[in-house]
Amino acid sequence: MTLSEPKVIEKLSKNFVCGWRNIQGVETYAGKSHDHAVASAALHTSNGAGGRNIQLLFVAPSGNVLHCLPGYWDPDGFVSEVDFVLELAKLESSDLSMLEKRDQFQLAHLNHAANHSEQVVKDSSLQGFDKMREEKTEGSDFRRKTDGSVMRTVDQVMHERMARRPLLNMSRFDIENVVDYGTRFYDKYGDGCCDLEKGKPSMPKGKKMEPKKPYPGWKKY
Amino acid sequence: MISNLKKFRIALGALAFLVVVSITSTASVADDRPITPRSIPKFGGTEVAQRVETMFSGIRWHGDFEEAMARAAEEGKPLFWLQVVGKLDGGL
Repeated sequence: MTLSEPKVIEKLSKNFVCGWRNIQGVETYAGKSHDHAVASAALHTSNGAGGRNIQLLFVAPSGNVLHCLPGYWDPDGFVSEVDFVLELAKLESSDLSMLEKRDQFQLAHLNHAANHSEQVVKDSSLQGFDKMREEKTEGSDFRRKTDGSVMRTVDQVMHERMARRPLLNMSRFDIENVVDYGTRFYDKYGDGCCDLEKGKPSMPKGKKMEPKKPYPGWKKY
Repeated sequence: MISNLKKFRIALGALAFLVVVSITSTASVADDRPITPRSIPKFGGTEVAQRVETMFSGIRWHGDFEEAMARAAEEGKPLFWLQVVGKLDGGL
């Protein structure tokens, strides 16, 4: 329901050309879900949930991909990412060389992720069934480097994945790898799939996190 | 010694200053107010249908990527391209 928020509508209609398409049965990376009529209930869930079912792409007028948000994003998190995309669009259209633009693009994604608020990080925990899939995946980038446990959040991993794809043209953008995490079937509290009972975020919504230390940011040497 | 009239004028000036500061800060905070509906566990079907309608009336949606990209290049704006399993206007 994020896209129906007045603030979101205003931002999108003012700053972007908008479009959509149905990827069901068209793209191999498309996920599966039960059917939902327009007038069925909608739930607030964690950021990045259902990444194969929904992709929010931001593409510069030149065709270079600025950002890709997979799955659900809550209105506050989404607005923050939209503001970030608008900064990237300025960078992309600047007079800098493509090499310099790509360097700055990578740094911008990493620094933006490092400065996400505690709330955004807390809201972006993998859900139980997605976490289980990542635990079975060797070399998953959701694993912490320190102890190997699958504790990293979607908001962090997504920016890292984008940083590894600096200003790629849409025709070369490997979206199937960008959205490759979690289970193929997603339908939190839908109509009774056995997986759904396990679909709780790995970090309880109300759990208080340790205060975040200010991060100095990545620097270019 | 400051006269009572002067004290009154200083107090009045301070009050006016506080009112201005308060109005300014309220205006700047209003735009950053959280909009995520954390207190609402879910939206009912009727409200969802209304919100979908609002989304369609508030944004002009293109249905073809190439056409949307051409428009983006023409307007010099980035493209927001949404991919979904299902139909945005006919249920997911």
